Amino acid sequence: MQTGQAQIQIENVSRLFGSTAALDDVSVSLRKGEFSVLLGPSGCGKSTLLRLIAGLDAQTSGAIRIGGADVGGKAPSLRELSMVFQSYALFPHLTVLENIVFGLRVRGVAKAERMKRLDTVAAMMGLSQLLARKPSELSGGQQQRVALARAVISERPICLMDEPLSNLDAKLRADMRVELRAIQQALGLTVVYVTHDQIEAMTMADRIIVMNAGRIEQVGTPEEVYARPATVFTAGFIGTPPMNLFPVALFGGRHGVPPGTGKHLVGLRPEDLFLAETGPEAELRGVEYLGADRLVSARLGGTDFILRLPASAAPPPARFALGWAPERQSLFDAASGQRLAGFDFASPSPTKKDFTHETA
Amino acid sequence: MNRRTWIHAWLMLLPAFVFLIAFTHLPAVTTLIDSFWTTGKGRRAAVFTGLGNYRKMLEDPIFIKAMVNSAVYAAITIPASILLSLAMALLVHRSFRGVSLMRMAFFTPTVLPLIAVANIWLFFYAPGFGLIDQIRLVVGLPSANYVGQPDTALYAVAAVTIWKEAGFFMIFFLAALQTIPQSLREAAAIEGCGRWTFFRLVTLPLIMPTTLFVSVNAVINAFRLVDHVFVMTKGGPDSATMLLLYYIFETGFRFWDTAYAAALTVVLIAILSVVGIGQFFLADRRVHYK
Repeated sequence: MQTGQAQIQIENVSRLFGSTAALDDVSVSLRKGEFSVLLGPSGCGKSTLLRLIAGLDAQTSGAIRIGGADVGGKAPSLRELSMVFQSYALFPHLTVLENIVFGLRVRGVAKAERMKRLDTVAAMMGLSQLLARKPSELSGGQQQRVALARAVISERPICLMDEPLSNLDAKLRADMRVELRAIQQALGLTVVYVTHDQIEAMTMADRIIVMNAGRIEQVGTPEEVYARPATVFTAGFIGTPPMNLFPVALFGGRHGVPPGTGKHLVGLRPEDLFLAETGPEAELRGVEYLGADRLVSARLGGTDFILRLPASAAPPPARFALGWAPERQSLFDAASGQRLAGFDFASPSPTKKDFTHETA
Repeated sequence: MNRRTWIHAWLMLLPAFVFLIAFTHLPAVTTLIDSFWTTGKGRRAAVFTGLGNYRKMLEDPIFIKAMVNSAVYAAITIPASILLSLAMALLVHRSFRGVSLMRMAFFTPTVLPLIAVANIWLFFYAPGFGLIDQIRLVVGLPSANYVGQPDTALYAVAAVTIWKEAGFFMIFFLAALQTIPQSLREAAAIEGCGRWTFFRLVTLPLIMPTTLFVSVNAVINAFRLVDHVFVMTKGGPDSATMLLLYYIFETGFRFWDTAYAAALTVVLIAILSVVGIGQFFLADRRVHYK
């Protein structure tokens, strides 16, 4: 399946609950065959948006198009999509087999066809040995697979996932991330995936939609979102630890940073900072040893920040000169929080991601 | 455990034990024993008759009538009250304006004493000026005496039971329905599962434990609740509403044939045990417990 074509279009969608807006004039288009992740903190409206796409809730205003057709007022089952729920939503009284083919059964798919598809899907998900069990006799990871199998067997082109991995332990979650991505790629599914976990977003997404307070902050590839956050919110939300934000006065006049009085903010990732020969003098506050590297907390002119140093390097002295990679700096307007793209270096050298030490 | 703790434990249990034995177990055993003896009179002490009392039942037309009536009464009230309560629970298991008022209205009959309920219904049924007759007269039907006619009296009494019980059972069904997660409904909706299909494939199996519980209660109540018979018909007319428990009361405390009443009681308990145990064994295979 080719990618690029818009599969789901969200046009000026708002959803009000009483007078509070869970979604406030949101527009975004999700492409066919892509893994799109709706990422944001609790209450940012990401689940609401997913439920609107599914048809489980109706928007207050705006339009949602799937495959070009406005689906307003269309029942969830007519939208040609499947969904994996956070709680898995397995039917507790039915066996794994019955759970997986539930949808085919209520849609009147012939039994031979049901069993044929079941064999393929069960083999793919490694569920062939568990078909006679009840959901309560399965582990969390196995239940998750059943929920996924139920979505896959429908053979619908779109799959919506609402924090499907949040009930699994860390190890299993890491395995499932890889597996989910592999399934999506193999089947060419258009996936819309809701999570508040940036590791999930970074590792699986073709495109991340960062949301905050009912609005979209940024749409971009994981690299774009990480290296060139569009807003101060994204800069602070993506990355563990997040991007450091310095008032421009501390760096003014160097490396293309406009001399300023504090109306702008300079954003720098912890790994884009290093100990230099000369530069603004920072004061050491503490060191956190993570194995492969050290997270150094320090203060520069009243601003606390964190820099990441390889553990092989010696810990910094009490006072040190701070250097940074200018081509990786981000400049934000302090008042609006928006990125000032005019100051971006011409060729962004994508920052190498390293998530090995991040906690999931 | 050492001796002292044992003595302590028994001493603690003693008060409850005394009451349980005195008022439950001892009477039950005595009833069983009494049922094999004749009723003692002033002139003649009780004599052992073996199964005499039970043989007497087979030739007792009122007992036969009471058994038939009880069977009909159970066959009507049990399914009707369960179906009605489930329907009411489904109706109020939603949110709309006035839903709490509706739930309260459905539950009110449970709070009322059955004696009071029976009196209210007596007024409903009253020929000539009762609620039902007033409606009948408006639509041009002749006046009817539901409670006073042998062919309708049992149904009139059964209607009161259903009215009284359905609201109580509704609470259990409502609680069961509320334990079904909303996400199951949503998952089914995405699969294209209609409301009736969802009810048949998901809701009904998931509330089966409650249905079993309610049906056991309904069976017990069908034999146990006779208060309204005292108020409305006293077993009449012509034994048309003579239920087994009411017959036991009449035999034992009106005619003072206590031995025969004891035998009747044993029959009643036997029926309840068989039906109750049977329900569990039959339903157990089909009930999904969490």
